[in-house]
Amino acid sequence: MTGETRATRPDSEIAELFARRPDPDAREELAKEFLPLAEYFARRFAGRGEPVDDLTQTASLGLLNAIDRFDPERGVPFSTYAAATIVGELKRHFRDRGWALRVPRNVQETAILVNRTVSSLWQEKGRAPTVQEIAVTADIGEDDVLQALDALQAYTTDSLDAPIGDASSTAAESIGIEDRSFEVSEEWLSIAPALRDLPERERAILYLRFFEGLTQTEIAEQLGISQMHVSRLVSQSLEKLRNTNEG
Amino acid sequence: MPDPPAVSAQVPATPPFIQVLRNVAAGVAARLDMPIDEIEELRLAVTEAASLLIDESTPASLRLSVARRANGVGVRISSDGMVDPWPSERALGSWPWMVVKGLTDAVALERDDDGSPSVAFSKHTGRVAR
Repeated sequence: MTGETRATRPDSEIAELFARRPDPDAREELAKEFLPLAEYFARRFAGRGEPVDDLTQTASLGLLNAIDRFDPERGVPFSTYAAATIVGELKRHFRDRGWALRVPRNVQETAILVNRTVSSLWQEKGRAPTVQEIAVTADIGEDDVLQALDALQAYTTDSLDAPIGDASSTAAESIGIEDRSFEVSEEWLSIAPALRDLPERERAILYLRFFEGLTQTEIAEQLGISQMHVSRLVSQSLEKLRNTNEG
Repeated sequence: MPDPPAVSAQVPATPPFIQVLRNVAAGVAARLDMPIDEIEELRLAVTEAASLLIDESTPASLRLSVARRANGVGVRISSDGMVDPWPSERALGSWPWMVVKGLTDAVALERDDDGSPSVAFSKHTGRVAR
């Protein structure tokens, strides 16, 4: 009975109001009583380009419909019934405007979803998927996919010491090309002296990619890591080289 | 390399805006159904080509145009800076140039009709491993 939240009336009083229903006063009392519920769902649907006022109005309409149609005999609490009706009204509101109702996700969640989708599509198709294929499978927009791929490239650099596959070996261990003589490529090193400062593995990947002309997929096969991982390491090492040049 | 009607963007020649250029290129490639591994290489190529032009010609702004080609995309990045001769020997011996060559299928350092130094390249899709 205290605090800022309006105290909910006892169930008996609510039941009495429902019993008096054709009475406009009872209807209004009930609407006032459950308005916070409508406002709550209006806020839940905010942020999708519709003014909150419009959403509150739509939700209130849903609430009034629920008040009119509620059948206490069914044994479902009114709040449950009203929630379904209000959400239905809000969804119709968006549908009438031709807007797809998507659950907004943050970039990180989307990135995780995209990463997972890429792996499964890759396995299924035996090649890199297209943005459209990822968007359709993950049920998100193509722009979201692009943004997520950008984020994945920028932020999720797998650690070379992270366990791979059956977890009995690490990525570093599986890179078995240390014995190849990258030292012969003095010519290559002279092109970008900063290459000397890169870790051996990254240098090896750049060597294979840009000196021997192997594709990322071929390098991935040779090193026993995923193409995505090769791609990330290439981006990462190019980034390092650029920073060294600028610094 | 003549350019068919293309998507284009002009940005200040600074690193944060190189990112804008590569996102534009990636967006176009995505709409042409290029697989994501090739899109990633396209991104890297745009980055390196832009870096090359910034290093060699000290431009105030860079212009990018991306167009559909029969078997992929054609990209041209032009600088409003000065460099003579172009391509310079230093550019041809540089690391960014090597990277762009490695990531693309046909590439040239040339001048636009108005004399602007530019890097033009094409990236094929479904490229066969060499």
